[in-house]
Amino acid sequence: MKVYISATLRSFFGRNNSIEVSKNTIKEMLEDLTDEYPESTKILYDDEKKLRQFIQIFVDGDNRTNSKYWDVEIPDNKEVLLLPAVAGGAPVNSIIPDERRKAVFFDDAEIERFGRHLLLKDIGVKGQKRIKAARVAVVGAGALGSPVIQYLAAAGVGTIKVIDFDEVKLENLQSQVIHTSRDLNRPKVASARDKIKNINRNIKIEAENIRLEADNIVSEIDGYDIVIDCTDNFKARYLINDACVLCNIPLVFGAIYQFEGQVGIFNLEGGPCYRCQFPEPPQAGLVPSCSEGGAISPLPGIIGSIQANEALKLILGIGEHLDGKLLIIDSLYLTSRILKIKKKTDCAVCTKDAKITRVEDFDYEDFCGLREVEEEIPIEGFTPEELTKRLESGEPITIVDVREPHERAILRFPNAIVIPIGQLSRRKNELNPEQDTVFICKEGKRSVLAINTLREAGYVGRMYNLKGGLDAMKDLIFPHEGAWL
Amino acid sequence: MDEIIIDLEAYRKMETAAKDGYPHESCAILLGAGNVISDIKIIKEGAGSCMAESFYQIDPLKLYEIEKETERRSQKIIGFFHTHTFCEALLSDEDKNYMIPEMIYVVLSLTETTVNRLKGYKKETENERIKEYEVKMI
Repeated sequence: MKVYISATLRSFFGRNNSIEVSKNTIKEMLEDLTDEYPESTKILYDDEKKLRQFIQIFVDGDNRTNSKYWDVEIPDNKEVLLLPAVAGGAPVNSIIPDERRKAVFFDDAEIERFGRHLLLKDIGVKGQKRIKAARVAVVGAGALGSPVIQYLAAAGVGTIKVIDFDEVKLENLQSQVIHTSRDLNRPKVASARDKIKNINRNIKIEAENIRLEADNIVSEIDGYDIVIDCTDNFKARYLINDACVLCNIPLVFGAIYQFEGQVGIFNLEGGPCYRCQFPEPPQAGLVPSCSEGGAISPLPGIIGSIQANEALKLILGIGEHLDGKLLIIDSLYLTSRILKIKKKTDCAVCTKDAKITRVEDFDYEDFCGLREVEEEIPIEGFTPEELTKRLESGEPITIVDVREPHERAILRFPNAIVIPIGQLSRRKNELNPEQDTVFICKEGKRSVLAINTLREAGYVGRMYNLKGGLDAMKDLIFPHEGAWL
Repeated sequence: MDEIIIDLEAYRKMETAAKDGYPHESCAILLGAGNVISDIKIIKEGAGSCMAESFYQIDPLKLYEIEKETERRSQKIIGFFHTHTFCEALLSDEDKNYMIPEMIYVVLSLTETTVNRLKGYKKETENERIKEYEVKMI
């Protein structure tokens, strides 16, 4: 058969305008062409070896691009055309409708305040009006929420809702720069509200001191233009993602861990959602949260600032977005990469036949492995008080510390055997099965995983978990032990 | 920044096509050599070609027809032109997905009253990186 090569594709086919192929089907023809012209593979197929979207195959004026035609025999006298589909669309527009923008006015003080935005051709008066008309919900007023809330307020977002159930603790001040020493023990949303007011009193602030759950999230976020996820746990991420999909609200996602951070935009105009990339959470206890694993102080500033910038770009309808992409930044080695996220055809929440149609019907606790279920062999545990008593009574007991070496450098548990969780199975012989063994970690979650790991490895000794981990115990015994550095 | 050169007469044709098509997008085939656009072939709506407010598409068979015609005239297709109405002359994800490597893509943004910005792009074959080009008129 004779194959006509479009002038736009010829540089990949030795500049030939037509090629004679001694094969009878489209499938064989494509194989023959790529064998003869290896360069053509790049233009014909994508990274997943699928025919590129713009490649079209015609036989006798009929489109035969669909692979169902590829094994059909083509008579010798027919010419096959290899042509490109030339098409395109407009970039994403502002998510703020024009009617809302037009209803916004500025006073003289606002013209002065936002002067540097007004100077930018891509923002100008129209863009600033869009920012003022925007309603943004920020979930989490912690490390990521700090820069997000402050930059949205400084940029002039008209309505900001801040949702957080927690209070400000001393350990938060290392990275949660919206709070200060004066805010200790106050609800984080109250502290955030005060900071927003200090930036701009004209902003409408809604501070919700609640924990988002399946039965309240929809009413909390419905009606907002964007939701920004600044939380630090998987249950909240899935809950927020699902609610955003069901309420049709774009989600700006952010996460940090140690030196690495991630930012992405999900659910924008039917684009992929968080579940498309992460259909299931990791096993409970396997991946420490930011509060357990730590994060370098400026990292949430970097990631949160990008989240705020992405949100503003969506409001303004300018630039390129992280829509359907995940930006991963390593602040230790200053590298970054962008993962493309494809919409999953069998996604549990964002497809036409989605299993999840109401967040209330989905068990997030169970999905994220947080429910304390009745196990076949339940894990027994000691409270910090019970363990203290046993230690003080001098009963023989083995303490196994499963934390990583750098964690132990902060707080040592006297006379504990140190076995990081990854080494437990092969080092189980170091334990005495005749003696009670208590497993300890920072929050009492990894220690449960450690017990289960040893059970699976066939260890039969009596094992106990320290409930709440060392965080719950440190005030009881350590202050006078001098274990703190 | 590397350059794309457009013959002034070809640019005027682009402007006219853009205004005539407004509020729908307009598109055309770019003719010339290397990075120099000497003429354009405007695509009219019909058969498999369509223009909407946020979408355009050229029927591959129409392109085939034009290729035959340009070859007869010893002209060369070097890329494609299209407009963005109501938004910036930036490539959308859809634009990027349909880009043929090493072809020139020129995008003109316009509103009801103003022709705003003209931008040029090319996708590289090797790493599929999209490079912006400075557009100059002669």
